[in-house]
Amino acid sequence: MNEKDIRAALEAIEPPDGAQERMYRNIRRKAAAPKQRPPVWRRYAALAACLVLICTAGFFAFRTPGTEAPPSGSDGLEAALPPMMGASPYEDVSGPEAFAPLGFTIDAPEGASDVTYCIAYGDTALVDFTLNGCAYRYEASAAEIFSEDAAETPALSGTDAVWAKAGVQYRLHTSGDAAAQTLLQLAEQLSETE
Amino acid sequence: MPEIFAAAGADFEAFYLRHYKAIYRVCYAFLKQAEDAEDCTEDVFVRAMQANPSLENERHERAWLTTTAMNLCKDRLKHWWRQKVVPLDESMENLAGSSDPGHAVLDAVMALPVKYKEVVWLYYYEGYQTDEIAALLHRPASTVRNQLRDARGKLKELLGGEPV
Repeated sequence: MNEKDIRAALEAIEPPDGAQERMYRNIRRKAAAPKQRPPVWRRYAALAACLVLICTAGFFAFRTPGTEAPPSGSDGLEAALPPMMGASPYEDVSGPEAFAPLGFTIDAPEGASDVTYCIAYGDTALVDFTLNGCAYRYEASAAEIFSEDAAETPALSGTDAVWAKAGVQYRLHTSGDAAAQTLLQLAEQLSETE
Repeated sequence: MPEIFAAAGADFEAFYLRHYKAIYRVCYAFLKQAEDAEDCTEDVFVRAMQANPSLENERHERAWLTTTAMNLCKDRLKHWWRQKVVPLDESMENLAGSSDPGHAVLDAVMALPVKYKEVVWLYYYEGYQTDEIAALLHRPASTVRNQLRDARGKLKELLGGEPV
């Protein structure tokens, strides 16, 4: 075995019949074909996918429980409640005239501040106010019974002052440190204005 | 018209007819399949048209085409699909049935690993010296000489002890 034998063996490789013309045609065709460039979107697809992944991971990684902004609604409470609890039974109203449909009306005493009006469960009027630095809640209802033995004259019932007049029960409650006597005096003043 | 053809003073068809057989042989020796060899040969000539190299004479043309063909063949052999379906090196069992001496030599050369096949091809078929092969393949001349020696040893082994 010498160099000639090897060269002869390699020269024995011959293209198949018709390969010369076939290859020539294909070369011309390949050379004439426009170079296919990958679509532009493919170039940026990987980058976009990475960005989405990073943003998603970042969102979940940096979101700490309890830091979400309170949802809109009445003090955020209404919208924050689970659906099964339904809507709040408290409806804010603008003033005492909104209580007219209930068949009665109540209002904060003169000199009160921070006055808010509200209808609870569609039948109870509520007025929250501050007087002499003490917070009060004044309630009236024709349907709810605050006290079984409520009289026309206000009387203390626990920490509340309760009275009834013309089928409507009234209650004055303070969450502040007002003395019972002060509460009763204020209740008497309110009962006279009804 | 690319510079390669203008410099050679001939058109592309003449250029193609001068070299297509040699390039087909290179591709066939590496890829071991006629269809792949044809496809690779076409790609080599397309590259020649597109690359537009400045080549002084026919020998330079042949060197450029041969090294391009070898590189394209190696790229194809590296492809994962080819690696899965076609073994890179033919096993010695494939040579067992070869009764024709010339065919046995060809099979033995084709069974060589790619790095040996390159130097054997350039040395025995193209007739380059080891220094020229080293320049073409960008390898040290000593490496080429060692690879040529190892290739001879493997051929001897594949051909049943017959010295090369």
